[in-house]
Amino acid sequence: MSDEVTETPQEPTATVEAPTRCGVPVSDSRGQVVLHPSVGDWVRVVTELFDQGFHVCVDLTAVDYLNQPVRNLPAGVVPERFEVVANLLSHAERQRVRLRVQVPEADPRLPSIISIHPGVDSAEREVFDLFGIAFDGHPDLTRIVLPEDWVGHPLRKDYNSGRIPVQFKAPAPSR
Amino acid sequence: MTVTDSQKMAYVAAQAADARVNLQFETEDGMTLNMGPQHPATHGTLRIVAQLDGEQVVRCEPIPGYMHRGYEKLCEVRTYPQVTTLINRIDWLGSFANEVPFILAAEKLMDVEAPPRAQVIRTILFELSRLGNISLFLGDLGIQLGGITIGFYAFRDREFVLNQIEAATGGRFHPNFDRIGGLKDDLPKGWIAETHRAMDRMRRLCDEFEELVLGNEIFQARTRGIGVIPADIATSYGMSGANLRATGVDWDLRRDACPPGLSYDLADWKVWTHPDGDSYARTWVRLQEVRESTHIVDQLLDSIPAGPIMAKVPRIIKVPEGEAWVATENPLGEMGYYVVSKGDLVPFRVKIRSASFNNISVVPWVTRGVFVPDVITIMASLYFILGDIDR
Amino acid sequence: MPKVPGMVKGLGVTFRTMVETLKPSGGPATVQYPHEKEEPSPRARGVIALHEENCTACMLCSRECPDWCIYIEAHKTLAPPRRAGGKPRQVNQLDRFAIDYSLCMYCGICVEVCPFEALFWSPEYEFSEVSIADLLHEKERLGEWMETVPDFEPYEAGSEAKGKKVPR
Repeated sequence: MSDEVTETPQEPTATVEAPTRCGVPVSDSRGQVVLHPSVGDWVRVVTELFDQGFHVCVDLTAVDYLNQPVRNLPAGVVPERFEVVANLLSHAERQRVRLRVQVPEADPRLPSIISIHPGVDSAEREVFDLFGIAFDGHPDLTRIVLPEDWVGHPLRKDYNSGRIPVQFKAPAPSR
Repeated sequence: MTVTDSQKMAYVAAQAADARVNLQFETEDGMTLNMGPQHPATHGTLRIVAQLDGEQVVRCEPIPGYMHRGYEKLCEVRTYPQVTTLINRIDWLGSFANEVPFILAAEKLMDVEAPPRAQVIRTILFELSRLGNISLFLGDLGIQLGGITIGFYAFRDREFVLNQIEAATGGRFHPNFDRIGGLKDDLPKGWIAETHRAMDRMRRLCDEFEELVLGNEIFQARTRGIGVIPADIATSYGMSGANLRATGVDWDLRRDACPPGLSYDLADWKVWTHPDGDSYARTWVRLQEVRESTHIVDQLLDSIPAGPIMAKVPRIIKVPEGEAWVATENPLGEMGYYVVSKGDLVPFRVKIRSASFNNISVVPWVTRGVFVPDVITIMASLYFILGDIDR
Repeated sequence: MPKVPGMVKGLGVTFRTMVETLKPSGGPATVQYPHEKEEPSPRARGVIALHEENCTACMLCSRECPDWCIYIEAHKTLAPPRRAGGKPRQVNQLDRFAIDYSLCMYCGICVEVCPFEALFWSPEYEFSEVSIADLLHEKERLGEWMETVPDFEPYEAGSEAKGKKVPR
């Protein structure tokens, strides 16, 4: 894996240069490259990575970090409630790269990358279905795994998972 | 029990939601064919809505979701051993293969490595689950196209593989055998010799399939040139597994991006590709993969190292904080798990990237302009399991 | 014709299989259940048996069960001291131990986590009932299943796993 560390031009007096790739902060998660674009950089970064050979979008998902302010993020990345995680794969270079976008709760929208990777059609619909994050530019953003008339977004942490009465305590869900 | 008003409203809303889909199609020319959730040709409860112009398909859309069991929500309230039990049931035909990427992700977060003996046996069971899964594909493809004989042969010879999985793990379909740090138990005496015999049986099934089905002129007419998917379309739709290799892309996660914890480097095997990208190519690639799997198992059976079967892990599994993505070459394609942990007994978020979810996203593209029986052929050759799509 | 068409070769496969089925050495692959039965392997997960003497009502199996299908009731009682002149010690007395097989996933987590080896797998699978409520097996019936528990098999060469014994 090539070591692409470029200096951020806005901080000439900083003693530690935050590594970036495609202009966004990059970190390492147990041997895997993770990029942290912002909502505005999302489409640009995905397009640049596509041009670099990452032709396959393996997965697009989201995580709800309600009540979890402390997270493992590089400096300069503001944690939000939702995080959309995309996994890209390059057949030629045999490399994977992960992208984590912070999506605020007040405005859960993200531009759709369906024009670059047509295969995320169903993945974006699933994220919309289960989390309520809308993707601008998606041709048919409707529910896919749940019935069309379902109310609510189940994978959000404030959506009750249901309880059955037992005589002892079950393991508490992570909140 | 009387029906409440809200239940009545929900029923009407469900009818309207269904009608909305049909109504859209009715206003344009052509007939809507709804191959509903209950259909012998769909591998489970998949609904295919096809708008037809005569016998040709104008637009075809698969509607998944009839089997959504809420796995990802369930995994957030289950401990790691309980999650292992549950995820057996995603791709229920090759169920040991479902456990492996999750266990590898948890092992990555815990920085635990399974001992070599456990890694080799894990790989053997992984390949056995691939055999069980793809041999059913071989039988089921014949059934979908009308040649039911091969279905019986496939089920008959698959029994030998399932018996071996049962002899080692206790369960034919849901082994629940993989543990963080190794495997639950070691192999019983005589298992290796018996599994060699099962591999001979599987190779016999492959030869019978080749003679009975692949050489058949009707089969060739129904599958050659049907459902051609070019390589760039396949990669842009995120397809994986045998579907991708049938378009000519030489990509196999076992060789190219194998996660640590599996022992494919101990065996000498090759990756099969086919340049055509049609239904025949997909069938042919899977047949060769079954043969190759039997050779991998034979080689690995003869090279199981002695040693412990389980690394030292605490009794109560608490995975440290972090996130990990691990993907393996499952029988259906690339299956990945994105595990986010907060240091608890339960995972914080588990995203199950199932191969079939992406494999069927290409169906609207590939079924433009084909005839109705070809839709069945294409769906059968793409090979998905509903539990894998809907989770 | 110069080449045998594929269909004819395929018919040859079915003909060969039919001949093999008719030969006494081959025979059909079908097992005429319920007149003939196949033997499941000794490790097959059929039903769970309880060895009551080992159970201390620690509730671990009940807690770890993904379906919460194990119902345990116990009370504390005083057992006689181990040595003469010692204090009576407090133990759990098992009142009720029931497994609801209509909920059970046959996953084996309860058998695995039991620290006192009170639960065992038995390959018996023929216990279907007409009424779902009868699938709730109480302590007595679970003890009866202990007779069907096979001995643990020896391991393959190269294994370092310790052999275990089934208490009879």
